[in-house]
Amino acid sequence: MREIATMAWRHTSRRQGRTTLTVLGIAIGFGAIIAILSLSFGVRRSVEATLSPIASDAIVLPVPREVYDSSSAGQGGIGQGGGLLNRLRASRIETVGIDQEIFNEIISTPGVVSHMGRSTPIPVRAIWRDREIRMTVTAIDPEGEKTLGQIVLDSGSWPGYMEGLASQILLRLRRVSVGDGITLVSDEGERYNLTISGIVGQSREARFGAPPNVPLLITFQTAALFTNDTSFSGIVLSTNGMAEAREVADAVQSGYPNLTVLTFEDFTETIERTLNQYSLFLLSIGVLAVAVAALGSANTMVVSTMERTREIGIMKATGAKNGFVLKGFLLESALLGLVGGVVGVIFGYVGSRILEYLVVRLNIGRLAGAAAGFSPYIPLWLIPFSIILAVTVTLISGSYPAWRASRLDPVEAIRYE
Amino acid sequence: MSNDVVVSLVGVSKIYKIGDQLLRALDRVDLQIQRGETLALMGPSGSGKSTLLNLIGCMDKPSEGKVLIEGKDITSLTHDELAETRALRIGMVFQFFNLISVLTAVENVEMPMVYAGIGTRKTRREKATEALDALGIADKANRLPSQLSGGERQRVAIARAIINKPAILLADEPTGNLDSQTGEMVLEALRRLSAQGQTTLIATHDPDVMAYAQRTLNIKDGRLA
Repeated sequence: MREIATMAWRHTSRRQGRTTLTVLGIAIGFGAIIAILSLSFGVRRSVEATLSPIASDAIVLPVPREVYDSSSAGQGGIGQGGGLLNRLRASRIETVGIDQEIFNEIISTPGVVSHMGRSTPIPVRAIWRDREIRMTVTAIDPEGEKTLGQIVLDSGSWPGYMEGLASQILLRLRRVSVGDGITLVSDEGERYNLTISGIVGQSREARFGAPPNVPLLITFQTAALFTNDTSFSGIVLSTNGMAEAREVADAVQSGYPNLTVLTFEDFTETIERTLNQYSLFLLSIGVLAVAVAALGSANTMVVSTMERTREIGIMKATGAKNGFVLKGFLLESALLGLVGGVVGVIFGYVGSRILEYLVVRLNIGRLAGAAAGFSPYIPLWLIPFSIILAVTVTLISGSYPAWRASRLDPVEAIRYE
Repeated sequence: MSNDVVVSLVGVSKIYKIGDQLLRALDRVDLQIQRGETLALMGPSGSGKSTLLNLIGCMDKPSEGKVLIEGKDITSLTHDELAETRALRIGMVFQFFNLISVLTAVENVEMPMVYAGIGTRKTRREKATEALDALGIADKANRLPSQLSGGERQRVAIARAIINKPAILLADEPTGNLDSQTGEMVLEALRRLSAQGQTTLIATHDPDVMAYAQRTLNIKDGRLA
């Protein structure tokens, strides 16, 4: 074996020009794959980091599971004023109501440590700055929001009874300050004067607990003054861990088969599916690059066997078996793959840094569909995996020329000029 | 068959098909070579010399008849068995040296031992160096073929051919590509091997070879005269 390796190494290093070009081809192919995968892994890591705060939560949505699964699942959640619900309504899919009674039962499920619920958007008439306007408000639970929500107060305090939290929407409509008054009018014409207790700050767009997309947030107690129909757009149940969240989700789901109860796993599964499709697309580009590299390697080996036909004849005339010749050429192919793979890893790393520059500096992350800023990421296992794959690919592409070389007739081969 | 018969050809023919035509390169050849014998094989170009050497050298199989090397019929052997026979029982010296260009002189000599799986790396190296020493080129052991003269290359080829102590040493025009002085050195090496009892068959036009050969075979149109 040592002699085969010596010959393979000397042949490879002797033809520097051709070897360098072949190695470059393989390195570019595998470098592209690594850089592309690093993009995909970067997005995945970023999504996981975004979702990890809800790892021990269970989310209850007021739609049957089959409806949720068939809808544009994985988007909306209970943030955005019930984004999913709005879309379901728009597509005339019937939703199930979660009233106060069901809410109370759900939050008393064993294992629930804390909870947060928000109402569906409630249409109201309001008098603000002497003008009557129509708007929607959302009822929130300030205690739950403080622990589980992502509402950040820009100024003021959380609302109490007969108080409201002005959102950025209201702020954009007209300048508003803490202490301002706003009047909500019930269906019966009763007027309720509320005070703005605080202003919601700008929040990063996120999946759960983001500020509802309505101008005013009030407490459930206040909402009960002018509407009897306060149903929940979703409930977040917090537990002590992922396993507990699963148990709570299973318990709630079996008690309320018409609702959808989701855990971290359900979301990652959905996102995983999306990411896999995205990765598959990118990977198909990489596979093309590798196919080109494999063809280059096969071409090098075909030329090499042709050039060395006479040498193969000499080896066979002096006693080399077919297997010896086969091993020699396969080892040469593997050597090209090994060097190409190692250089490819370096190229891949450089490529991923370039992608990072493009993503971070030129802010094209959002174009790539990332939830927030992310940077390409190369997991450690990808390095040996790429090198082994490079060796395997060159072994496969070199197997036919090697086989052909091993089958050469010694008499014919030794006469070859 | 006597134990002293190293090579035996019985009614051997070799027929090549070229297009629609059949070419009979060897025609019912019978031959016996005794152990320790030195033979010169003479004949014009295209007479069948190389075909005969290829068959005795287990590089090819006859179309008809039998080729026996130390009593073993090679016609029934597989590719690998033929390769093993070539490594262990046959030594080949070619007109154009045919050394492996990326291996040094000593590595070239070692290769038949490597093919046959003989010895360790250390013992192989020792044996190969001894063989080069016996041919007077031990000081060139670590040179590549391109760094050697024609005569030196041919002596490396002879060392490679005899390294496994073959039953028969076959040489195809071993001096054909050398000047007379270098050719004489190579012939001297072959002569010494013959004197030591190495069975040798040399295809040649060189009258000096005929002079020391115990027997001269003349071949014409595929038939031994």
